[in-house]
Amino acid sequence: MAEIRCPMCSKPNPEDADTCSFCGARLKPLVADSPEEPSPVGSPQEEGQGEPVPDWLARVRSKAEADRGEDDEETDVPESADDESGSPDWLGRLRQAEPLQDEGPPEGYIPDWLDESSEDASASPETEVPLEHETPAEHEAQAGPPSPDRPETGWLDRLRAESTSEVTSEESIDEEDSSAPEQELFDPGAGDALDWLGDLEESASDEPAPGSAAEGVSPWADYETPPEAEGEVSLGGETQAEAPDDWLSDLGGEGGEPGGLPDWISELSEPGEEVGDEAAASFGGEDELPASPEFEPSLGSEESGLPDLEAEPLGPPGEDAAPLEPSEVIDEGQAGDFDWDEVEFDWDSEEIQDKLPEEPLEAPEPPEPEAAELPHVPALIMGDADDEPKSDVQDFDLSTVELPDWLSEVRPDAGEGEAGRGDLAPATIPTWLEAMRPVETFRPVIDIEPEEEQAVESVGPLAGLRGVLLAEPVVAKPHTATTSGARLEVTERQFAQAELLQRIVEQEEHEIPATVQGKRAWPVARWLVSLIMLLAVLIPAVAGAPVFPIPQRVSRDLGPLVGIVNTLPTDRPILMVFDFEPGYSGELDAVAEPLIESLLARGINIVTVSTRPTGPPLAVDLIDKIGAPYQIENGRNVLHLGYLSGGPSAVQLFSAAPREAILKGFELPPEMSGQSAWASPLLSDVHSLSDFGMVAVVAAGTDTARTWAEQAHPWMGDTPLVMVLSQGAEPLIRPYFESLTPQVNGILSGLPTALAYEQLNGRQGMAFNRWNGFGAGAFAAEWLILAGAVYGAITWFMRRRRA
Amino acid sequence: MKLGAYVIWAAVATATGLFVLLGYFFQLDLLLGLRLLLIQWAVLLAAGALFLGLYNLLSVHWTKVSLQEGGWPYSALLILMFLVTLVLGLLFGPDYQAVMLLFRYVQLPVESSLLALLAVSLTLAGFRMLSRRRDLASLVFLGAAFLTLLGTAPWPVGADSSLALLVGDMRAWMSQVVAAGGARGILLGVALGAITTGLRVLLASDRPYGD
Repeated sequence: MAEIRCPMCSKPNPEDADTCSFCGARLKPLVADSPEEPSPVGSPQEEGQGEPVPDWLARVRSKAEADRGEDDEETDVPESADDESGSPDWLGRLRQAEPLQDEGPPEGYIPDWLDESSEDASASPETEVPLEHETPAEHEAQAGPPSPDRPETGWLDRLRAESTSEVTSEESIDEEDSSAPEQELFDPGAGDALDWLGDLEESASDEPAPGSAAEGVSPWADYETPPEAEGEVSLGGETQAEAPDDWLSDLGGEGGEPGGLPDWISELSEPGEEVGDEAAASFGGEDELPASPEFEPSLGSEESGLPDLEAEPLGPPGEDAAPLEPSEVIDEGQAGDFDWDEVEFDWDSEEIQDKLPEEPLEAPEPPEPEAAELPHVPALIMGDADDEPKSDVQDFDLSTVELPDWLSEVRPDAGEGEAGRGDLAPATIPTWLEAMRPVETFRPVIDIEPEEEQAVESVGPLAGLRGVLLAEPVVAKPHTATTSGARLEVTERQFAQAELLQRIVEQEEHEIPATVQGKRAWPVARWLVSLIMLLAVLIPAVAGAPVFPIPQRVSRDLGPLVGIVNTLPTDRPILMVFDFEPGYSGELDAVAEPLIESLLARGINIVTVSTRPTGPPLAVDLIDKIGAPYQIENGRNVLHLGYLSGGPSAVQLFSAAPREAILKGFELPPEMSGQSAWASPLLSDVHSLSDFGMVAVVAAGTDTARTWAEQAHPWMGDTPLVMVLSQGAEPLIRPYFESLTPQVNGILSGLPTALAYEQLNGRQGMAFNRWNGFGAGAFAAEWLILAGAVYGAITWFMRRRRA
Repeated sequence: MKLGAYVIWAAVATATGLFVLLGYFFQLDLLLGLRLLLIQWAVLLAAGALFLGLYNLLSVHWTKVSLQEGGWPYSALLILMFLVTLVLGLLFGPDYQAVMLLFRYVQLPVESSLLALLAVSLTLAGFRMLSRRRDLASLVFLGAAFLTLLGTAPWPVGADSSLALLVGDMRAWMSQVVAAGGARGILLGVALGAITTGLRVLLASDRPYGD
């Protein structure tokens, strides 16, 4: 795909783009390209398709011809109708184009090349990467020869070359059209020395146009750099000084004349004279230039069937054309007037520098094939293009031309002739563009050495070439590291975690100082509380004082329990479950004692079981202790089934089938040694839990009590379930007791209730004996807690007061 | 979900649960017999679990003694007494006099003493509570404990006074209304949790026996 390089930032853009996608600058200038001429490159094919000659030019041309006797009939300038209003079209276009002089990139925009130069001083604007279809030699040619006196860089050269190529192509076409015999010169059959030209002709006949943008590859690409092409580049881009000599010498060698001019140049020179003569005859003198720079039917068109290069105008050379490039001289058809061996090019001379921008006017060249491949948009303000009509005007007597008023004002300057024209600036660069030019400070970064000192490239595709731009200053020079790319974006959470990790690591590194084992404070409070509690329990037990009064109020839970016990049948044993740990025996023994005593007093047999391994011994000791006054016998009044292992499942199994749950007994009487407890006559009628007269569960914890209440109740039938509980477990079992369909029929909990039950039984038991100690200990605990609360409140108040 | 052996275990668990559950609703001999059989198996498994617990306890303390870790003499004593009790129990039964002697004069006093120390420790904690932590929860907790003790324990003087009766009523209200209310809530939560767990096991959604 063809690309257009932006004149501002030199970056490639699509061919059909109107503005640069990088800097926003206009790519298709309104001055050079009218809507009727869409291709900025000025392809010969398009240009040859009836581009109308401006009316002013036709007018001027006809006027000049009339003044010269109209001896040149071949100059066929189509004369269009003038605008009656006196404002010609070209003037309108010029007026349209005037505001474009102020056109520039957006405000504050800095092109990439300038930005890069400011960032990296080593980057030179001359280190331009050649395009793909551009050979390194061509790239060098475009870059121009290094000259300290000529600070223009490649981009400016390209601008000039572009404008020059357009102008010269127009002129060449026009001149070719005006001098038809020139076509005979480039007839492929004219000589063998024009083989390359013949190839071009053939290719041109096959292809629509060699210079069209659609062609892509130049016919010169596979050929060595043609002199015209180099000359074209040299005109606009101030090529290297070595270029003319090299290609001339090479061509000379090829032409079979060692050290001389190539054949094609030699043959060109002779017809050049012819053409020059004809042109002189046509334009009335040797000093006169081709009258019209206007495009006439291009050589690349179907009419001629020749590529554009064949349209080289061979006009008469100017007097100051000697030091110019050979290509230019050849283009002017003056190759035979110069001794090429003696030609020396002093590119630094002011004469050449002044001449270079003006050469296209004097030596139009064929359209450059590379220009089609590398379509560069001409500068918005093209000094050369502006100079061109001036030079044309100078060829005529402007006094005879009817000009607008504003143009009449500039008439004296325009009529100064060659001398005045030489003072004109080669190009007018807008101030903003001038300000954006690379400054001199960038240039010394890569000092281009003189040709003699430049090293010859030894490797790579550029091997053998001299003056190749080195990549080391760009690649190997250490650049300042950009911190933006290496900077890690850390979130607050990550930062916090990193800090935490850092602290942990630092703490790991620190050596923890050995803690000095100071004297532990004497736990005064602990010992004091322990001592008070111990004395509170011991003194009543030892001294019998103080005496706490027996509560007169009886718990409301005691009545149902007493009623159940009093109504139990005496022929059915009751089952007592001892499910508590030995630590709770001090409380539960005293609580269960009145119940057991009342049962024994009524002659009810008792069968014990436990779901805890420590339960059977507790049951044996308690019943033996309580039943001693009642002369109970093991196996006759009391039977211990022992340990029921299995937890809740065992409770359910025992409830459903007691005989299958427990196969042995605990502390069975000697006569039942080796037998099962179920062999005892006491359990002869018991086959299920409902066969017991009552089930009393003595439990300290809520879980055990709930297990029995939940698992055994479905199998109990009418058998009442009584809970003998610790004071702390009573609240959680009470819901089973207070429900509408109670699963627990009676509750006995707490020492006061046991004491009350003893009072009902008319016998003082363990509850009575422990009542004073229990009262004293509880009283001490109450006052200790109260004292601690007062102490804490005082200290808190004093601390606040100090604060 | 990938099918595997857990399907068998899930089917067994579900069927077992359903049979036991149906025994509560249908008084069929077949269901009752099957239910009792399954429960007996469960009891045997529980007894086996008890032995596993004993083995684990023995191995842990044996490791401590072998590695001479801190407090290894206590572990050695535990192992010694464990073996003695086990041997005596296996040989002579749990109601052997020597075993009963060990229980009556070693285990029972030790556990009772530990529970007695709990009373002293709780009293000390109540004494320090307001000195260490002064907030509303501490005040409420301490006030409830003081009021319960005051309402439960006998008064040395004025036991029949109106104040003592008032405090007794307050204690009864606290234990039978406030505490019972909280206890019912806890029981309801426990019941709902048990139902949910049972359903999950029955539906094989929860497989405590593993996949």
